[in-house]
Amino acid sequence: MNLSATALVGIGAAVIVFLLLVWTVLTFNRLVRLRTQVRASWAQIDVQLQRRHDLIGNLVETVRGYAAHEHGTLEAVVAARSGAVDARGSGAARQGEAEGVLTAALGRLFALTEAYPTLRASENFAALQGQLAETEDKVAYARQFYNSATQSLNAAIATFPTMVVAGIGGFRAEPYFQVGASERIAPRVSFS
Amino acid sequence: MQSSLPPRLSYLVLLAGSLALWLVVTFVVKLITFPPRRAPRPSPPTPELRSEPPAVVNLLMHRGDVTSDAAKATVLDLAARRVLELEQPGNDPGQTTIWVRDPNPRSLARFEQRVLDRVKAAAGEERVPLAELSRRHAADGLRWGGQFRHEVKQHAKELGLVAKPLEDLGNAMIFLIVFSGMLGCVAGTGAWGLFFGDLQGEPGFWPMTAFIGILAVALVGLVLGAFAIVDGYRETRTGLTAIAEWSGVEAWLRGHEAFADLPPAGVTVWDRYLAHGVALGANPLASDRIDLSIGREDLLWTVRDGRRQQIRVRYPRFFSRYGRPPIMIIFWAVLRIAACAYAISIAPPLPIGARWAVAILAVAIVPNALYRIVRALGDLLFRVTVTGTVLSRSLVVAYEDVPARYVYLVVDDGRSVPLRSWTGRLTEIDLREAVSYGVSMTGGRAEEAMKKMPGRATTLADCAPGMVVRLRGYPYARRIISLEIL
Repeated sequence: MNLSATALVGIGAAVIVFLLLVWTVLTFNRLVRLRTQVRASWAQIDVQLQRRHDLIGNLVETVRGYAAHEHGTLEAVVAARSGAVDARGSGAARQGEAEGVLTAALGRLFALTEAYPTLRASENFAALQGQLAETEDKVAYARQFYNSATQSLNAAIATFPTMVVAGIGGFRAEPYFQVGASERIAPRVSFS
Repeated sequence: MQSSLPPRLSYLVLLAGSLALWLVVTFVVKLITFPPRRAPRPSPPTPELRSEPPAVVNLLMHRGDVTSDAAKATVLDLAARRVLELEQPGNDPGQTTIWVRDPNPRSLARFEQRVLDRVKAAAGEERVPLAELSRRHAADGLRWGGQFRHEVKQHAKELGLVAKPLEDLGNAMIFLIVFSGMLGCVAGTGAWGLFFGDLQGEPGFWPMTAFIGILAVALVGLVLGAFAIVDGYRETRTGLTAIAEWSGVEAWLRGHEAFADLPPAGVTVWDRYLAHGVALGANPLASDRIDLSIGREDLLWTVRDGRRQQIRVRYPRFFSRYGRPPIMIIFWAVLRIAACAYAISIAPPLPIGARWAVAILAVAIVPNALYRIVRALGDLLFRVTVTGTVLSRSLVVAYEDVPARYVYLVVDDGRSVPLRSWTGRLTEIDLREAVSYGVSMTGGRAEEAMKKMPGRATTLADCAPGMVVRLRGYPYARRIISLEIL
């Protein structure tokens, strides 16, 4: 069977279009998978942050039972906690900043407890401290996973030719969950 | 009592019926006491880690099989716990170094202590390249690996995740009762036939019938018992729950694309996640970079169709034909047939029991020997050429004082699943030549000896994972004829 040049060109073009379509579908699906992973990772952060906020609330009430006159420090923690709770759902950047403020306020609270040996000896306080430390670790790992997933998504969106599909599909780069500046300056707490 | 069947057939039918009844009862008992393993439904993806160590997770997720990733994951777990320290000075994971930070940690499981001892033997008190772990341990890998796997299974039992059926006294009692019942059936059949049957005048038949019956019972009992001992692995309900939850962790880790490319030194940041990731097969790079040289790797990483995946590898075990020239396989098969023919020729004057034994042995041996001859002839006529990537090359040295005899070479041809290892066998001539080079062939010095030997052995020694090779060999004997590095 002899095919004319036009027919050959037509077949060739059809093959190219088909391959392009397949590639587009695969790339789109990959971007969807990456974006879903980012959202799932953020959901894990949210779960841990909620637990953190609950524990801090209990911690404040416990400390208030022993050091009720330390209004300034306690109210600062309460305010920072409220700010962090309000920041949930407003994005990684604002949330990171709010969590940084809360961590700094918490550091001052723990520094305060050094002056209250009966508080430090309290089983309830020790248990809350332990749970809070465990939650902080989980927040840290959840943040790592989120940032790793975000990095993969952002890298895919920024590279050619995936960026073409990303632009058509409405995929945007996601912000990293960075620590607030205040959290970087970790207060030194000594229980000696 | 008269039967419509011929008398001899009646008794054999009765005997077969007793055996069948026992098999049915045993099967029902086994079904009740050892429920079949069902794969649990995986949990949704989650980053929440359970408390099981990575090696035990590897055992659970591979349904009783401990892969080489378990030992590697244990190295990373010890690093996460600050017993070991891994450091990567540059961008190349191949430059990772390892250092024993805490030589005498407390409360390590036995398999963890075994891994730590292996690292300590390689590294001492220095910071050494990660590759040093494999370089100094070519000798006793197989035995070490077997002991490691056993200790991991024991630890899983202590955690209440798996159970070994025969150690449960209740199940042993049930087997004893069933076994005794069967013996009673056979004895009863024999006694009934002896006192009420029609063959009292034929003394030769009854001893033979009883012999076959008891032998069959004993064989079936032995097979089932051996099976229960060898396959002594059952997950408990806690174990099945753990599998479901770890499946969720595996899905979570695999969902993060960047996680797969984390190097071993990433344990400093990723902690237990990296260790468990290797155990779950979610981190091929870290798995690939750690080599404890345990002699055999049953799951190897390869790239097919642009995708990194693990391929199961089968190694020759218990078969004397591996690595042998086809002519020798044919020779030994012919010798077996000749021996059976001779035994049959001298059997007629022997007691009926002995004649049966000869017949059974001949039936078992001759077809296998004929099969070997046909396959070996096929090897001589149709040698195969395989082109692919070397995934693993390991010296097989069973004990430290036994010279190396084999090299296992695993070549990925891009198609086969599972892969079957090829075997390069060092002959007595090669060994004598190696000794003449003044190098000891025992233990870890065997590799150095191979590098100094000419011809095929040198090529095998030069061949390293990652190289593309063209291999000619005998497919049945899995013997390498020639090897060319491309």
